[in-house]
Amino acid sequence: MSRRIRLVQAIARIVYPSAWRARYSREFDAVLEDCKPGVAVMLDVVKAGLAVRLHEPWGFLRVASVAALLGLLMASGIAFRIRDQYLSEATVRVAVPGEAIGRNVVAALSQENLKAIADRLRLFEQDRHHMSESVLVGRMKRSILISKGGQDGLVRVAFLYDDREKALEATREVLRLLTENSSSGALEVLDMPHQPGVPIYPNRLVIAAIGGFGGGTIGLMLAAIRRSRFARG
Amino acid sequence: MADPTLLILSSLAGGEKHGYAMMVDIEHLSGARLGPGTLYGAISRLEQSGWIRPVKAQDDRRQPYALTPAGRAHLAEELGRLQRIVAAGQRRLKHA
Repeated sequence: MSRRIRLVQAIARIVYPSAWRARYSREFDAVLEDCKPGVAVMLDVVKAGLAVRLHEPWGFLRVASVAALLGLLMASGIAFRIRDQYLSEATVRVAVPGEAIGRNVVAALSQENLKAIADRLRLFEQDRHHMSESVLVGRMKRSILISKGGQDGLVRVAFLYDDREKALEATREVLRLLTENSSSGALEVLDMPHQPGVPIYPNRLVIAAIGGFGGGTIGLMLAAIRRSRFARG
Repeated sequence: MADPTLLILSSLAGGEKHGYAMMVDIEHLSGARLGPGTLYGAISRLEQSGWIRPVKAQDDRRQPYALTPAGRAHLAEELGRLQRIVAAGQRRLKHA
């Protein structure tokens, strides 16, 4: 017996309810062996099996539960593929709120300076071979977070990265550039950057919960559509 | 367009058959290839409705089915209804 037949028979054992299997599985397996199943047969078996399940007592909720579980597993898989992101931050005070930090940022975070930081700290190393300079600089700019600051002149400077030590080093570099590009006394560092402890992103529990909820909702909708179609004809 | 239950009943009207034999016969009869899931979904509904029944088989894995008298009556009624629809459609096409 081919692997494909065994695979479809295994899928059938999962999707069909036990009462149905007890009655039909022997002859159904024989038909699968005779008809040499391909992808179309596999899809047909899944679709028909779910339709049988929908008409069992509580079948509606079972289909939704299976969909929720699938959503949960998929979202968890995605969540664990996302790298942890660490945020290292510092606080500075600017002498002239708003305007001063704006001028410093433009001068300090030039394309040349950002590329130099990325090169020195070997940032985004795994993607560098297929990344142009402008893309690298764009990613650096997205990783640097500088708050607008309020009337008190306090500004948060931070760097977001998937390595806590590099996040700290990059924040230090950005702070150094801002300080070097500001006139004496225009910028005062109040809180030096520190090495982040826990990642700020991703919240895997929330992603998994969204996946489970989304899967369950889609499952309920599909089950409702399938049931209404069956009722009509 | 092809209703699997009607195709199965029509196939069994020609004599008892097991699942795969029905699939082949239906393909010859209508050009439609029923998947095994669709086929057995319809077989279980037809059996529950009392329109087909399993018959004694030599090979216990290839279970043949036969029409019941109720199934034969239902098929005749459905075919008559379809015939009326076909006749009306053709008449209207001629006058269109």
